[in-house]
Amino acid sequence: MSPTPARHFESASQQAHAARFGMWVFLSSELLLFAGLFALYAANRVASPAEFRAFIEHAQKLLGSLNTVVLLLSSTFAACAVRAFERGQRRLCLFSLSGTLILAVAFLAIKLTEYGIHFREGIFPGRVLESSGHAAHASVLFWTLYFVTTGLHALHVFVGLVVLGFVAVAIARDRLARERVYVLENATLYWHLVDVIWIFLWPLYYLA
Amino acid sequence: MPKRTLHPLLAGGLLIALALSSFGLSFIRLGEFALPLALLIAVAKGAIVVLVFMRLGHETPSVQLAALAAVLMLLLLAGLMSADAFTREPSPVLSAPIAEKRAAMAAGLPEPGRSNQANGGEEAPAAR
Repeated sequence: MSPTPARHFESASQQAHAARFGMWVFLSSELLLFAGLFALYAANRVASPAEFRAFIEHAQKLLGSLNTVVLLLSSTFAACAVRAFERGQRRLCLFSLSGTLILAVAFLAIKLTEYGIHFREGIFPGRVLESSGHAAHASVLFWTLYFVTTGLHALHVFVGLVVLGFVAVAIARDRLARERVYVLENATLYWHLVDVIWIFLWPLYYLA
Repeated sequence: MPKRTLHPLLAGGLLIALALSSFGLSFIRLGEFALPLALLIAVAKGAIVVLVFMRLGHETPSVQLAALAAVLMLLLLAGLMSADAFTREPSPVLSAPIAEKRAAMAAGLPEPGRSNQANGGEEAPAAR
């Protein structure tokens, strides 16, 4: 049985499409929010390539890489949750969503550990680490960009965690009909975008 | 209705394999190829997430257009900003020898291509 759509929609499928379209437009605006930070990184790296490479050598590569695996696995669980929900496998869906939520908490814990290590080393946003002129300037730019970009990303991880948590509770209480799968889909779309952004932050700030 | 696409677990395995290859390559000294290679692998991973997990390939053209517009805007912004930083004279903000530049200007050495500014920024005569 098809659920009754809201009054301003002709059909349930039109409502579902409108919900997904709205989500994609929102995700596009989110990408543009990060676009400014990516552009700043690109311009400053072009201006100070050797300095940026030296700072990347100093980044917590192991923790950053561990977080990459954590986020990729969490996204895999999220996609499995949608697949299970569409097939009416509610318990498998909840199991997968739990995996995503646990990994999201793990990501934030690892990120905070990483920040703690940097703070103990005396690395803060806006703090000059190098003594000579240009290296000092590049140091401020790199580490400020690092904290702002990864911090904004971590905030998105937290928001995704909360949103997915609410959806998981709705599914656990059997308050989300199978036909309204787009609610779960939209929550996981947000999560996947957070994953995609990290996929690009990782090489830029930890690897090369 | 379930949509036909690569199984998420298979896609997840591919993603982890690509991430491990990026991690391994970061220990090899590739010089200036390191970043393009790492970004290439990132693009492959991003494509898997967008096409398999987010199912953009199954979406309607209007949704695909919204996603494409964002990617184009990002490339335009990052591309233009990099091109500007890459091609302009050493910027007083982004680059090093600020003191040297100022010293050279104070010594009365005009910078190439800046004759108008050296003349006090007055408008150039439009001799046609």
